Formats: sequence, structure tokens, C-alpha cells
Amino acid sequence: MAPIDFEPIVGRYLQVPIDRQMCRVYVEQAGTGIPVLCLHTAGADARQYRHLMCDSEITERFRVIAFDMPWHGKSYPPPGWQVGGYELTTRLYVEIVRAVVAALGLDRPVVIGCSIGGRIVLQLANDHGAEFRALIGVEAADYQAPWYDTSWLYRGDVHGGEVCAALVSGLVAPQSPAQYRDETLWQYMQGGPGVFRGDLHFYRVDGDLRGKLGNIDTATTPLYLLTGEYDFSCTPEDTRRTAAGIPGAEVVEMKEVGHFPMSENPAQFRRYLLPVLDRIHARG
Amino acid sequence: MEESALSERFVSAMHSPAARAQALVQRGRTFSADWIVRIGMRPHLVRTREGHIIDCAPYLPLLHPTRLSISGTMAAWHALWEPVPRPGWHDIFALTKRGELQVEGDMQLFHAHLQYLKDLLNLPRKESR
Repeated sequence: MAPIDFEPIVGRYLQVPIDRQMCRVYVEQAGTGIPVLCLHTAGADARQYRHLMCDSEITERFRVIAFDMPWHGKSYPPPGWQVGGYELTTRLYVEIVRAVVAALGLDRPVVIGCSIGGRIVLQLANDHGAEFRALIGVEAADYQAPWYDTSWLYRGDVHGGEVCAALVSGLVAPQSPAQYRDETLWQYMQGGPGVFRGDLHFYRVDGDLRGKLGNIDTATTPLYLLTGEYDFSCTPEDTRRTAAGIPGAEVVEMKEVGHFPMSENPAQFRRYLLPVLDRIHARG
Repeated sequence: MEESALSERFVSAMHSPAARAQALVQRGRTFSADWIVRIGMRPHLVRTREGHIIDCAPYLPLLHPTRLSISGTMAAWHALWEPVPRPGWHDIFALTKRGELQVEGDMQLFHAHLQYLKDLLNLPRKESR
């Protein structure tokens, strides 16, 4: 009989108080060492980070943790979700991240977030920077110009999963392997009705951070911003403009990846991420 | 590349076996419409029934009813159909964001069949490989 071929990822459900409600949050983790908390993109879930959690060069030095935000993946919406809709706000998003950090008892973790996760990393750096060892914003900017009407994401006459995936499909770089492109899009097809749109409330309506990031201290908490050249939603120029207002923020433009580097082309992403993790590890 | 060459490439792709591939037809199974693709100034009438292209030609009959129009500059289509399109020119929404392409008409039809339409419009790229 062949040996059981389990991946090193272990998933469990965590009880976390968020916004005065106890939420059941699905968490995956692998590795030991400096904790790295991973934030998924809008309308997706923690599976985006599966490659990081299976990369021994990372997990032998870092404890990589990813969770599905409430309403996403295997985390249910909070009780009573049928009453009222879902709209992510800056306040709620910051609370979710800090609540998960507290519930897991993490000591000054690194946080890496992509897209909306990258945007909230900037907010965390500004408001709570000292709580974190380092912050990594992937596809992160203080603002980016809208490129579609989000009302099409949640209607009775358009399949939500199909339109969400079709819209973001163009954000995947043409060089990304088909398997990982398709996995990335499958998550968008699986999202709950209105959830992607609800996340984008933070992105489009409530989370404009232009002129609001003057409190970031990169000497205490280094800030790394990695953006893919094929991301026309958060362009490398959006990231550079953001970094220009944050002394000490470091920007890397990643070649041949788009808006979902960790899931669409993990081999290419690690070429850019590993040097950043090496530096964080060297700081201790 | 000139307008006529881009036009020929598009028409050829719409009549190619790739346009009749089972997966693509399946994706477009609920899409039936006459629609326009403009390459530069040149309109193309594309007639689609349940995911099958039944005709594609570089003209628009007088007063012919259509539900959707996708109009791009020559630069837009040329860039989109490069074997490996360059960043910012690699998707129809990247092109609309930079003002090189416009979508007009029935937006419900467009969004409800978005991946099918994207896949169709990317077919000339396959032809160039």
C-alpha cells in the first residue's frame, strides 16, 4: 500500500469574536517559526496561499497561516446573516485581522495581504504598525481607478460566480500556468452571492487611503509592496505612487504575474517573495 | 498591421475549428445574438446561435438589428492578439480602462456571457501562434 500523501497544511475551525459576534473561522497553517498571516483577495479564500504553505524553504523558518474571512470559503457568515447584506468596511476589516491575531495568540506576526488584503495592510501599517514584525502588500495601493460596474456582480439575471470569474480572468497574466489560472478563477465561481461585491465596498467606497497614510513608520515595521506587471486593476504605477508618500516603503514590480501572484503563478511569485522573507528572517 | 489584415484574421478565427470547440460552444450555449465587432473603422457582423458562430463577415447590412457592439482601435486588437500580449493590453477590460475599446448595447447580455465573449475575441491570438 502506498504511503498516504498528505500535504503539510493543517486546517481547523477557530472561534473568534468579531464585531460583537462569535464567528467560526476556518484557518489553515503549516510550518514553524515567525508567524506569517496571509490575507486573501476579495471574493476568494485562503486556498490562494496553498503553495506558500507547501514550500519547505518557507515553512522551515515561518509558520504560515491563512484564514477564510467570514462569508468566504469555509467560514460561514455570522449568525443572522439573512437579515441585511454584506459590506466590508475599513473598520471591520481591521477588526477581523486583529481579532484573528489575538485569537491565535500570535506575537508580532508578519502580515501579507493581496488586493483588498494589500490595501488593509497599508491601513494596519498606519494605525497599528507596532503590532506587526513586517507588512507585505501584494497588489497594494492607497487607491486605484475603477474599471467596471460592481452592480453586475450581484443580480438575478447574471450568474454571480461566472461573471465574477470572467471579470477577474483578465487580471491573470498570460504566462501563468493554466492549472493555477483555473484554480484561481474557480474560487471566484464558488463565492457566495454578493460577497465579492460586499468586499469591494471596502475597496471602492470605504477604503480610499489617499492622504491618510502619514503615520506609517517603516523603521519599526518594514513595509514591502510587490505588484505584478499584468495587474491593470492595481497597476505597478498605483503602487509606486502610494509608496512615494511612505518613507522607507520598498516597491518591487513582479514580471509575468497579474493580480493573484501567490495562486496564479506560485513559482514566479516565490522569486520575489523569498528575498523579502529572507530579510524579515534576518531581522528576527 | 493594417485594418484589412486584422479584419481577415478576425473573420478567419471566427470560422476556425477553435470557434467550434465543444468547450467553447458549451460556454456560449445560452448566447444567441447578432452583434458587432469593430476593428478600427471596419464593422463585422457576428451571428451567433446557442454558442455556434453561424456567420461572421466584414460588413453590416443596412438597418440590421444588433444587441451588442464591441469597438476597438487597430492598436487595441493588434496588441490583444499578440502571441503574448503586453501588460495593460492583454484583456478587453484593460483596453476599455485605457480608452482603446468600447462596449455598447445590452450590458446584461454582455455580462451574462462574459467569459464566452472574451474567449471568442481572444481566438485570433491562437491563430497567430
